[in-house]
Order: sequence, then C-alpha cells, then structure tokens
Amino acid sequence: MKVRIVKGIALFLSAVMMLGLTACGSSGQKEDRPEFVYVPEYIQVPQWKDQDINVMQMSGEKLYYRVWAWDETTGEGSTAYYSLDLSQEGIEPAELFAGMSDGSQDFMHMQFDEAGNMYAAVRTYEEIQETDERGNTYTTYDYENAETALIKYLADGSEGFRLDLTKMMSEVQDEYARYIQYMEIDKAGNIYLSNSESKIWVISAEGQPLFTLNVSSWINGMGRSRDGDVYATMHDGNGIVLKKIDLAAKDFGETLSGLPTNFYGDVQPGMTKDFLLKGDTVLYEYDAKTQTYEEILKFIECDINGSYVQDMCVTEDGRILVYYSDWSLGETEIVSLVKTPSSEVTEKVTLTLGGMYISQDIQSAIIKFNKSSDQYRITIKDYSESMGTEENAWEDALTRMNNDILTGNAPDMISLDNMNVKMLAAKGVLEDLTSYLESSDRLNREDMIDSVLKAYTMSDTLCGIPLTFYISTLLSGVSVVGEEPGWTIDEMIEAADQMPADAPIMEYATKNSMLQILTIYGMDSYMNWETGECSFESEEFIRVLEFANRFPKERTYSEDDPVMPELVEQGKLLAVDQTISSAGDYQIIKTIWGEDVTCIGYPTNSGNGSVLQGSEAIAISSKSKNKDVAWEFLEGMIADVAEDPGHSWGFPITKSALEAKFEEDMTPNYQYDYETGEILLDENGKPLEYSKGGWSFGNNVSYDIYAATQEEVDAVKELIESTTTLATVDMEILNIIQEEVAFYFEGQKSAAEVAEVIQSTIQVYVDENR
Amino acid sequence: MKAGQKHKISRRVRKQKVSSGAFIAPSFLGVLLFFILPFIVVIYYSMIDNPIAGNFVFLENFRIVLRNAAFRKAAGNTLMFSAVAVPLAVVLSLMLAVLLDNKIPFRSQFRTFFLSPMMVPVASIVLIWQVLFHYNGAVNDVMVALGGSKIDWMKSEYSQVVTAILFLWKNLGYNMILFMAALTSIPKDILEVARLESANSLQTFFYIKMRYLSPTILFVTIMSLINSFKVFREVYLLTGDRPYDTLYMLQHFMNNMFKSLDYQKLSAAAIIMSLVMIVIIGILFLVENHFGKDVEG
Repeated sequence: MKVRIVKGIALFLSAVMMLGLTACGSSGQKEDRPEFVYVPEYIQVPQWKDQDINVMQMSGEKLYYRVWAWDETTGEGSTAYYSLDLSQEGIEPAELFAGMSDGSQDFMHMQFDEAGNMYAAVRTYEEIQETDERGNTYTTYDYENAETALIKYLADGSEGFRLDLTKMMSEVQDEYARYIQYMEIDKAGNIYLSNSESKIWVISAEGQPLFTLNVSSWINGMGRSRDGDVYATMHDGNGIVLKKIDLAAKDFGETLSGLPTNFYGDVQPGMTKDFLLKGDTVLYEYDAKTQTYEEILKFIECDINGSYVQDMCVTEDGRILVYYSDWSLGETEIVSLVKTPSSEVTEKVTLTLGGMYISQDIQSAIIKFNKSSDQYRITIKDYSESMGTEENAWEDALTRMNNDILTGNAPDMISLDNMNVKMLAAKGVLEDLTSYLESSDRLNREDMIDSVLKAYTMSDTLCGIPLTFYISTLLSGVSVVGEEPGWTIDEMIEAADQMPADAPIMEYATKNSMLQILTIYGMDSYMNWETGECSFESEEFIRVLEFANRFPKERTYSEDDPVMPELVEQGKLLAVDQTISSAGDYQIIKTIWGEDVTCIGYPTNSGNGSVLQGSEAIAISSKSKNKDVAWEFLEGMIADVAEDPGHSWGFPITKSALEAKFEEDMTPNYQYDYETGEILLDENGKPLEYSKGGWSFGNNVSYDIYAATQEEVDAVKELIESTTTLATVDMEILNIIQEEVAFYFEGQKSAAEVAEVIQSTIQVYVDENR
Repeated sequence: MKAGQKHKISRRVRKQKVSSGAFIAPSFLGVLLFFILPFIVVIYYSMIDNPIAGNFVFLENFRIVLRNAAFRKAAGNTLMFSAVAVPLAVVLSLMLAVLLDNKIPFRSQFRTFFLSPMMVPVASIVLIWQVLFHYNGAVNDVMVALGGSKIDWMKSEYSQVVTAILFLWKNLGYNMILFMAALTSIPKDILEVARLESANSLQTFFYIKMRYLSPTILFVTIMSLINSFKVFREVYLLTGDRPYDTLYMLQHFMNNMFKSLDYQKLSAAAIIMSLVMIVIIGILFLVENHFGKDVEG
C-alpha cells in the first residue's frame, strides 16, 4: 500500500514535470496579434491649409491654437487665437480673444482651463527707437528691463487677473533661467509655473502667489494626474520620478518611481489609470498605487512618428487624440486613435526593419509607406530600444540582433547605421542590390554616384544604399603636405617632426587621439589579412607608440588657448581632422589656411586616406520573403531624398542632386537695396553678399561661408570621386591597442612590452578571422 | 513453467517497463530537448557554409577549423592546461585527503578551509584574483616592496600558472571530500590484515588503498577534466574575450566565433572538442577497468 502511494506521488510529479515541458513550447503564440489595436483616423482642418499654425494645447476634446500672419500692406505681423471642438462632426475653428494683440509682448507659455480661459506667462518690453549707420530709424525693444506677468484671459477676451511675476522671477540667480517653461492647472484652478531649472511657483486660482518650491535637479515636465493633482517629473539620482506638488504641505508630496526608461517627462491624465506617459516611440499608462506601467501603443504602429507628437489628450469615449507635426514630411495632423478589436482590422503582410538605431527620417518614410500601402506594412525592431545602462548593454543588444539573423528571424531590412557592414556582407546576410537598382523605375543607376556604390560594395555585394553621405579626412595646406593626396604613417610622422617643438600638430591632440588618427585606417601597415602575419612588435609600430606618447594625456581647455585658425596661422598645425559635407566646409578650411588645401587623408598604405560615411543606409536581408516590397520602400525613400534633399545633411547620392547642391553652393546671396532693388556694392565695387552660414572658433574668431568658386566645387567633386572606402573601423583591433597602450602612456610599461602584448592578442584575432 | 504463469510474468515485465518509461520520460524529454536536439543542430551547422545561405559543405568546416591557427592555439593551450592542472588537482587533493584521513590536529578546520572556495561566487573569486594579480595588484606591490620588478601576471607566460593556481584553489576541496569518502569506504579488515602481514604505510597505500580508490580517481579525473575546460569562465571574467595568447582557450575561440556570426566554425570546433573529450574519457575508463577490476563487485 505504502509503495503504491509513493509510486502514485512519483507518477504525479512526473506528470507535472511533463506538463511543465509542454507549457514551455506553447507560450508566445497568442502574442502575435494583440486583442486590440489603435486605428488612426485623420481629422482634416481645411482652414489650416497654408497657415502658420502653432498648436498650444489639447484639453478635453478641444484643441487651442494660434495663427501667425503677415500683412504685406501694413508690413506687420499679427496673431489670432482659435479653438477646435474635436467632438463635433464638421470641425469649425472658433476665434478666441478677438482683437487681442501681442504687440511688444512675448507669450512665453499659455495654458487653457476647461472653461476655455487662457493663462499666459507674458514678458513685456518697452519699445525703443534706434537709428542704423545709414540713418534709418527702426523699432527695437528693451530686453534687459522686461517685465513678466501671469495674465488670465477670460473666454470673452477680457482680463481675469494680472499678476506681476517680475519680482518673483528676480529670485532666480541666473538671469537666463528667468523664463516659464512649464505651466499646469490643477482641478481647483491653481496655477503651477516652472522655469524647469530651479523653481516651481504655485499661484492660486484668483491670481495670488501661494508658495515657491526650490528644486535642486532639472525639472523634465509637469502634468496632471487623472485626479487633477499636479506632478513634476525630475531625476532623483536613481532615475526619473514623478513628484506630487502637495498644496496643503506646501512642499513635494509622494514620489512615484518605476517609470519606463524611455520616458522623459511628458505626462498626461490617464485613461483608466493615473497617468499617460509618453515615451519617444511608446505610450504607457501608469498606476500610482502599484507604481507600475503598461504599454498602451507604439506610435509607429498607428502611423505616427512618436518624436513629433506635440500634444495629446484622451476623450471620454476612450479615443486618444494626438496632434503631431512631422517637419521631415511637412505634415501637421490631428489623429484620433480608436481602440478597435484586431479581428475587425484587415491584416497586412508585415515586413520588419531592424537595426541598432532607426533614424527619425527612416521612421517618417515607414509611416508614409504604411499609409500608402493596402497590402504591406513595415514595423520597426530597434534592438537598442530596450537597452539598459549596464556596461555590456550595447553588445547584448547586438547579440540579440545577431541571434535573430542566425536563427532565420532576420528583419526584412536592416538599418546599417552603427553596424559592422563588412561582417554582415561577408556572412551573406545582405542581399545584393545591384539588380534591383538596374531595373529600378525611380532610380537611375547611371545617375548614382559611383564612389558611394563602390564604398557600399563588399564581398562583390552592393549591400546597402545610404540617403546621404559625407567624407571624413585630414586637410592641410599644399605648402605643408604638397598637392598629392594620401600619405603613410611614416610620412605623417616625418612631416610632424618638421613642426616647431611646441606645436600641437593636430587640434586638441592627445596621446589617444593621435594614436587613433595614425592607426584608424593605417592598420594595413602592421597586418596582412592575406598571409595572417602581424608585425606590431616591429620598430615601426613602436615608433608610432613613441610618437603618440609625445602628446599630452589630456587637454585642458582655456579661453586663452589659441583656436584652430590661429594655430594654422602660427604654423603649428600639421593638418585638421574634418568632415566635408558641403563645398562650404572645404571653403572655410581653405580660407583658414590662406592657400590651396589638400585632402591628404588619414595615413594608410592604400587609397587616398579619406573615408566615406553614409547616413541612414538601409540593406535588404538575403533571407527576406518580401525582397521586392522591401526594395519598393527603399527605392521610394532614396528617390524622395534624392529628388528633394530638403533638410538632409550631407551630399545627396545622385549626380543630378549633387550638381544641384553644388549649383546652390555656388549661387551668391546678394544684398539688395530694398528701395531700388539693386545689388549693393562694397567700396571696391564688388557685390555685397550675405553669408550662407559660418563657423565660430571661441569668442573672437569666425568665418563666413559665401558662394563657392568653381575651383572649390571641383576639389570637393574630386574628393568624392576618389573616396571609395567606407568608414568601417575594426573596433576590436582599436580596443586591443587602446587597452594595452594605456600602460605605456601611464609610464608603467615600455613601448616594446605593450607592443608584444598587442602583437600576441591581435595575432590571435587575425588568425580567428581568416 | 506453465503458459499462464509465463504470460503473467511478461505482463508484469511490460507493466514495469511502461511505468519505468513514464518515470524516465520527463528526464529523457529534458535531455532530448536541451542536449540531444541542440547537438543535432550543432552537427547541422558544422556541415553548412553559413547559417544564412545554408549550403551543405560536408566536412569542409572541419578542415578549415583544423587548419586555423587560432583554433590550434586554443586547442594546444586547453590541452596543456588540462594536462598540467588535472593531474595536479587529482594528486594534490588525494594527498590532502590522505593527510586529513589521519588523526591530525585541526582536522575539521582544515577540511572547512579547503572547502570554503566552493562557497565563494565566481565573480568574487575573480575579483580577488584581480586584486592580487593585476599589473598594479597586491602581489606586484609586495614584489616591488621587496626590491623586485613588476610582472604582468595575466599578460605574460605566467598567466597559465596564475590560472592553474586559481583552478586548484577552487577545485581541491571538492576532490578532497570525494577522496575522503572513498578512503572511509575501504574495508577495514583488509587494512587490518595488511598491517598484521607487516605491510608498511606506503605498501598499504599503493597496493590496497589505490586499488579501492581507482573508481573515485577516475571520477575525480573526469570531473577535473571537465572543470579544466570550464576554467574559461574565470579567464573570461579576468581578461575578457581577448586574453594573452597562452590563456586563449577553446571556449574563447567558440565565443568569438559566435560574436562574428561564424556558427559553422563554432559548431565544427565544438564537435571536435566533444570527440576529443569522448576519446579521453574512454581511455580513462579503460585504464580504470584495467587497474580496478579486481576490487569491484
């Protein structure tokens, strides 16, 4: 009997273990599609077309905004205030505070209460009449003696109260911190003001100061809870927290922690819980009692770029109203997010774009694609998103991505930013884009810049295409380095030896920065991947270490130090390390040097030493089942930027767009006489130009960029055409060198000793990868 | 035997087999899921060109790995470390066990002392070793104070010695306990007879005790061998994934292959390593069979 009981228990335990194993395999299946999704519905406001809109606040279901307009006839600007009732079917803006003029007032911050009254922190300046050097009189303002006030404007436009804040603000020591960054109103109508740096002022609903809170840390935001209490977000040393502003205690009350890592301070009253917390990409709801949060939605899945969300509110029927302004697409929209069962939403084929960083431009392009496609949808998998702050967080995130790639779950498209492109290409992860490019309708292979395609061709695979690019190089005057680009490490050291003894050689040069410049692309002098031989123990490498050791360990910066142009003038700089992203960059270096400059490049045994860096390059996974759709997206994104580079930084990747950019760089911005319409001339009869930008060095030295000459443009073109090396640095080798060489720089080991360890470690690394 | 009785027995045997199968099933499933299936996957990966393309290349990866200088260095270092550290771990722990088997003062305290490293987490052990053997660590401070010069313990030829000391410090106690248990299980009457027959201590140890200890020696050797392969964990925590070349172990090679997405090389190396382990353990079994067969039931 006893044996049977024991056997029975053992069998039961076995069954439990078996069930446990079964449960392991089945989890996660239901998570593929959530029960509910938020479906975007776009609210059109026809009156917004061609208007300069500035949305101030969403409150209840009302959106308050102001319109700035310029009157050509009077030559004056005016501001008008409107509200939109988003609960109504046909949306009609209602004008508020008709006839109210901003005049010489600066509305620092405005907030509306539920009754439609506006509370504005206003700075008023006195007008001053001044005369310019040509005798023309103009109006300016006395900014130094500005007065600040909190004004309550009733819904009918009249003033409810006016509280002079000038004295209160003067308590702030730093005069640059005397501004209102945040304003919030609690359920009782009390007003909370903050300058975000050091103070929170609490004003009664009747406009009487109640108390002031001094804050030692930076305030990230202020917002209301669902109960109508006001909380401030700030860092408490362990992370971001919400602190209640306790009216009764006239102090901070409860502190709420456990907030999401990608939440920075934007708080709204919650739907069913206390707060809505807006992260960059995700909207969370937070429960104050349990101090826990849950994800409500990912903005991009609702075709919204989370970073461009300006304001949001929750309606009584559970919709989330979002106002967002996407400057990269030039879109300003109000979106109503309606919670809908997934079963009622048509399922689209999903493609994934993954990477260690997905830029805002790429996100906007995804939203554009998703909105236009009935069949396909692109989602984002940013492996760095859930990254913590621990030391190996980046490597762990990269490992997660690599695991996905190797287990056949690679994203359909891979953002190549911060990725080891060379390794991914060598492992066959990336699809060759050559045939797609050649048969493209929107992109012309012949019009693409060859050097960019060459740089992105690895292991005979065109593994990605960037949206824009720029060149990193060393530049120096022809009198210093000659006219021929490219030099070896020995040649660079030799040239440096010719410089004066007190010359810093390079701007801000330290032991580590010099070692990096010498070795970053010059490693081919000491290692041969073909034969696997390394020679880091050689006299040459020891000489490099000794050369780097001549420089200071750290640079202390002082305002009295000569700035780069002054060092060039004194003949104390061998070269400058510079990124060239426009003809203007080249022009300034040439102006500083006062002679023709050579893009001499980083020391190396092969090529011109300059390297090409792509921005927002995307590749297609060789294992994607929807390569054509992925290409359609990629092609559209590249074509859009190539056709209209707009705000994009760097050189466009098509020849035609690059020519247009150079054309623009060469076109002067002349100064005109407004009365006669003629170009103004200087004392030599030369047309006066406005600058196209400029660089400042310290407080006193600055250079302006003017229209580029054909010669300057040709030099930049030549640099682009001859630079075919992608700036992929083998960080593993650099890390090995830097880790070991620190002992030499600290004076603990000799150069030969560290060279021996470097040789041993890098030799193993080279052997591994052959 | 009658037919009915025979049928009854076979039914009982079948019933026993079913119930035994039910008991063993969870463990078997676990082994299948977490050991056998992954190993099959590893065999698959070792025979394809890369996990992305998945083209069958049969033994090409083994050829590449066997010709790879880094693999050869890792295998050489690992074998060298095991060849030195494992015999030391067996002999020293046996000596300690024999010593503590005698009635010496503070016997219990010594036993606790040698067992204490087992209770210390690896991270703490590594921290202690870093404090001691870092270039600016305590050992070098003492050497400088005595007028000597600093040695880079972890980045020189001494690095294997330091690691071997760490390995022994951590493993001696456990091995010693196993030997002490085995020593107490040697039949007392045989030792008594040997004593009456005028056998001295050495003769008793080598002709009787060693015979009875042979299964334990085999077990301790296998465990030490496995642990010597696992010393990578301590080395990795001490020196990262790029140690000085004498400390570069097989797991470094595999770990770095994993990071560079070279699953095929990683898998081939893992299979070669497991084959070598099987051969070594097989030889140990043969040796144990040869020397210990007359004392086993």
